[in-house]
Amino acid sequence: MTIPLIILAILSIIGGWVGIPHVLGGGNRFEKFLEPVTNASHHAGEAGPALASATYSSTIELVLMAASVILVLVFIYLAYYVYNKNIAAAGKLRNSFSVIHKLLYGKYFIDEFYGAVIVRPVVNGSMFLWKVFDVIIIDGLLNGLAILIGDMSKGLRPVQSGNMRTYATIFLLGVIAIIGYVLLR
Amino acid sequence: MEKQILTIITFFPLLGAIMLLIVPKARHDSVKSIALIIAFVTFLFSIWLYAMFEPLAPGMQFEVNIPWISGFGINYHLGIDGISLLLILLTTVLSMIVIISSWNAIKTGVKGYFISMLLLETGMLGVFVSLDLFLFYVFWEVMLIPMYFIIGVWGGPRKIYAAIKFVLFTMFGSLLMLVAILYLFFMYYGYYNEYSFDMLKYYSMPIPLGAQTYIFIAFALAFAIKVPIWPFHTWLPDAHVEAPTGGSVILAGVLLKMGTYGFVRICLPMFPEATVKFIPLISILALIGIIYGALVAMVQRDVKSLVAFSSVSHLGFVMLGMMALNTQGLEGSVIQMINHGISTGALFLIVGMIYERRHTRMISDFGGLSKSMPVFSTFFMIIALSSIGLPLTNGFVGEFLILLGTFHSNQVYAIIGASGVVLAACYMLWMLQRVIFGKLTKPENKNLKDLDGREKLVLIPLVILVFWIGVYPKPFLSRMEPAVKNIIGTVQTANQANEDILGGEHITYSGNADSTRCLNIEGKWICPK
Repeated sequence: MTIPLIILAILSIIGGWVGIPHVLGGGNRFEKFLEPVTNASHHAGEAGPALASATYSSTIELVLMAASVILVLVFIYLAYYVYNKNIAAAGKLRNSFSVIHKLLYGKYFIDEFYGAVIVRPVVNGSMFLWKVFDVIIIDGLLNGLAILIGDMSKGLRPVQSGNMRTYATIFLLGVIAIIGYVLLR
Repeated sequence: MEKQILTIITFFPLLGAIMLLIVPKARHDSVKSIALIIAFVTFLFSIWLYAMFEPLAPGMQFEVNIPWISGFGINYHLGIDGISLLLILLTTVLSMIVIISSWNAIKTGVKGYFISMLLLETGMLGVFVSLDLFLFYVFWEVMLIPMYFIIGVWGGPRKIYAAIKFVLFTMFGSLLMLVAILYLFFMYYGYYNEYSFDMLKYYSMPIPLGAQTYIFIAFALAFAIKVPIWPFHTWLPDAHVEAPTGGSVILAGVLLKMGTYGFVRICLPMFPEATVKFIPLISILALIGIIYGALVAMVQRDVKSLVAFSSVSHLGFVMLGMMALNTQGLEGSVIQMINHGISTGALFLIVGMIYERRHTRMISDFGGLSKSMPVFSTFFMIIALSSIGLPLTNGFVGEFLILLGTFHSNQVYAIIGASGVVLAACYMLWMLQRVIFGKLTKPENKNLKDLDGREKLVLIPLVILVFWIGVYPKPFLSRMEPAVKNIIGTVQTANQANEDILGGEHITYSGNADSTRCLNIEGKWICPK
């Protein structure tokens, strides 16, 4: 991770030179970069930035610059102090702001939130579709049909005993039944 | 020779299978080499076919029509349009790749396996070239037999259960189809006093709306089981998981396309009014399939069944695009049939490669394979992303056209369908994360050999196709365009004509009437004044 961070740090310094504040005698090259594309802002831009630079320019720019530089320095020092000089302070900070620490440490628990609200129900629901709907309902119906036919056939199986006398008797009974039906009709 | 090209392509693998019969059983290398040469020559023939195909010509090309069983009007009628052309190419490419990929995986019954594969190729090609319904039905059934043996003999632990389930499901559908074919046959005889099974003649036969509905249902059920449309899909995970790698590739790559091809070749142009009636039902089932397949794929523990369930989702897209009944939707649908063959076929090959090394396909047995098998992982990543539909890969072109076409016809369907794209990313990337990324924790995975030359040879053509269709799909789209426009035109004119007759002033007859001008609804003729 060190090398990517070094590259990014160098790039951020280069990026800073793209827009040098007016107070320091520079011009913001990005300010009008998109004007040819966005027609609407082109018209607004005629009055907008020109007016702004006339009214607010130097004081506000200086204050903003100073404030951000001071803030950055303060936090660099704080980080240096807590993590390098006095590591015990880190523990103290954590104890006194335990709720905030937990929230930040857990990345606002967004992953856990998604896990509980979206991922788990979807996975459980899909398991239901697979194990219950596919395997039990659809295949159960079809296998049930197969078993039903199998069982019915089992009931009929004794008829095919292979015993010639039984066959002949049933044959004879059938002939008598048909003749009887024809005669008595 | 040029005139007989379709016959040559279709029966060349059969010739090879007969040749293999006389090769001694123990000569494994000769068996494999002959099978490969036959498949390769068939592929070359199909390339020649592609080169000779007239891209702009409407209607069928390379037609052959000679009487076969003339007493019943059964003809040997072959012919292709752009849609069948692409599916023929897919079949010959995948058959060749499957033979190379089975080189070391099949150890017992080598001769039988390769004979079955070549027979299967003839069956599949026959379905795509037939223009006679009887011939179509024969090839449709011929295909089942070798597939039954491929699953039942060379399959996994539950192979018999899976093979019988596959055959019973398909048989149930195809018997309904047979009844419907006979109904059409007698109806044709009733109109024209002539026996014929010719699809092109049936296209122009006026079928009463009531009868159309029933025949449509019979055909649609046969095809829906094959596609498979939800809820007829439960044979698919079993068959795909139990089949050997080569069987799964052909099953997913080509056999599923038989169903969607049947819809395009038979249901849409023959029963245009019934098709329009069934748009909402089939679209909704397709949408359920898209979401259901993706969700169930997400929770699979076995990579192979994950890929199997993802097929249910992808084929849902194919059906959704088709039911948009406009040019973009149907073009997307056809190109997605090809894409699914390429991407899912390749995924099954990849799963097979890892299974040959580790003898397990459980996601939890892997992790960190990118460290021990970098080349394998790169191929896996490319193919998985193409299956999700990343731009510049083939899947994107298909899904985009399908969603575009669907959006034109029904925005709600398109919006729900698009959520399937998101879910595809969920199951596929989650699986990739657990299989090839992360830490290499299992010691068994540390010393796995990366892909060898043969395995790369199997995957490279598919990766080339992934990018070719993804970056420049025009050669494929332009060849199918006349055919797609023809079918859409047929459906639209039929429905427009009905509206014209029913919308304007009309008279109802109960006897006979001019079938070209009038409409037969529930046995009564309705004619314009």
